[in-house]
Amino acid sequence: MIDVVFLLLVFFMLASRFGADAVLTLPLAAGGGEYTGPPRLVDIGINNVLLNGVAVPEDGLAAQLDAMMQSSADTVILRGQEGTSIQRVIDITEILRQAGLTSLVLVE
Amino acid sequence: MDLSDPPRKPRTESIVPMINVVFLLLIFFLMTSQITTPDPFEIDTPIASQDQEATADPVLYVDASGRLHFDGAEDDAAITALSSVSDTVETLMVNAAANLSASILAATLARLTQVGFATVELVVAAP
Repeated sequence: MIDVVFLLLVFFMLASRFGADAVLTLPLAAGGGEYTGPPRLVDIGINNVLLNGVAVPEDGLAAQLDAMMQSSADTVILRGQEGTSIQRVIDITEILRQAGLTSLVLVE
Repeated sequence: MDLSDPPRKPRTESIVPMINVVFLLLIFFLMTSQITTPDPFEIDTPIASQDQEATADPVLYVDASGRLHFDGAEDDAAITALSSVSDTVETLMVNAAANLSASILAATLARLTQVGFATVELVVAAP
């Protein structure tokens, strides 16, 4: 019986996974009609970031966006350019999240 | 006259405490664990320093070439399978490869919107 219990113990130790996965929440562009204020389109290139088509430094992006928002819950639209990986998008997302912008929508 | 000590019985390891401990561990693992489902393909998760805990249950896997996998179904079949899930849950966990192109992910998200999801949770790893 002890053998069996040991076997079960080892099985559960090996086959189990602890805790929940870490995630970043992305709202989807569903529903629509909630967008207010001036356009806030962030184009993410491999080495550059464009805000409404104008190149901005990454560390100045949040400050410039801030001037265009009525509240920090306003939607900001992110668009990956050709060749941009998810990792790059997540890096920019983190910069914006640090500035308190949480409603970031990724579009084509 | 034999005055030497009577031969001692070799002391056996008491086994009951050990069983207690093993049972305790067993119960601990039974209660706390979720059985890992193996990933359908190798995915290197993107790195992010800030994260939240996952709340969603269904997981959609997307590999670096944009291949979708959900619950045994691939690509279009995966989207069909997801549309039946989206009646009950609004949040989907997406496990996408770090070097997947952002436009492919955006296209996938657009399809998820169409089948009725409101939010996705992108799985990330701590740096």
